[in-house]
Amino acid sequence: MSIEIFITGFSACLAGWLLHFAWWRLSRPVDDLRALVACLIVFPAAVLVVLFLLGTLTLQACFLSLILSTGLGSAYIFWYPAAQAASPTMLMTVIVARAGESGCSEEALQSVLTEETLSGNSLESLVGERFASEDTEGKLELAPRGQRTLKLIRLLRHSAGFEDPKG
Amino acid sequence: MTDIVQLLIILLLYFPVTVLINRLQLTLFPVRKSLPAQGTIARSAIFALVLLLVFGGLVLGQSMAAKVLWLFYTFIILGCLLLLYISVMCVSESGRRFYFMLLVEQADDGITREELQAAYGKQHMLSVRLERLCTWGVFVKSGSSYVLRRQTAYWYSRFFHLWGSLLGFKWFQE
Repeated sequence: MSIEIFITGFSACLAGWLLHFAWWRLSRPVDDLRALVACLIVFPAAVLVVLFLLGTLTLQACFLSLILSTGLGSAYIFWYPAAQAASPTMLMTVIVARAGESGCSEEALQSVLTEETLSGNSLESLVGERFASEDTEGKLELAPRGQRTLKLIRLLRHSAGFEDPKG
Repeated sequence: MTDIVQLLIILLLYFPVTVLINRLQLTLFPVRKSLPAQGTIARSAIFALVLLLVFGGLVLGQSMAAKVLWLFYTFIILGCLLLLYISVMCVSESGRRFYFMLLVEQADDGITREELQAAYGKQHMLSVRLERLCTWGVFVKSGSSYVLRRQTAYWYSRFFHLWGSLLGFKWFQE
């Protein structure tokens, strides 16, 4: 274990993040998830493997840097939806905070938050990120990625002792 | 090489240990299981991190300097796993996409976007979240209005707002 591992791991992840930032500012991808994995997992891994093949990194340093950059990248990807889709909880918190001590009624929240603001983006990304597929009649069905995700999260929730969510 | 194997074992143990602690907590100190408190999830994740870090301190590294580096490294990776766990549990509780997926799964003959929005519309989203935020003590009800009590929730929201703005997302029609 050496400082070199921290430097290469963080740098590889930072390079991936800069790529992601530039990509999103130029033209946002349709499938965010796939693009994020490419930028923050695959790209840093490729950089580290190239450094290993060039003889700059030892096998152990390459492996540990890879785990580090993958860990950081995964944490980023899993928290990204909170920045991407304006969660209703956060929107409500910002609106109520802005109202100050006088507060904000449920009716006022309803008038500020439109149906589109609350769910439009999530419905789009459900299909865009291939969690669901839409047939010619406009009916949605779970795609394999959606089925796998539901199965995995349900297993985790039930193992941890939680029931199905209320939304 | 032994250190790497031990590290991998520690990392692989993180989720099972966290889930186990989470379940144990809910069994010993039952809260409404359908409305998990943030604290239950965060406490389990932090407790598992500390537990495995102590274990890592005992087995990783030969010299003191090596131990410190290994522990710092393990702490970062376990921290990432902690964020993953909290994110997955929170998203599975109140994530719109996850809930839409549940509704799509329940509809045997498929469901249109309009039907989905009718089943999980503005009214439902707001009332469930208001109840949750009040239960957590983030909002307090004063008459017919809701007032923010925990400023940390606001700064947390601002952080994600800033992050979204940096990437070009617009939360509000400003």
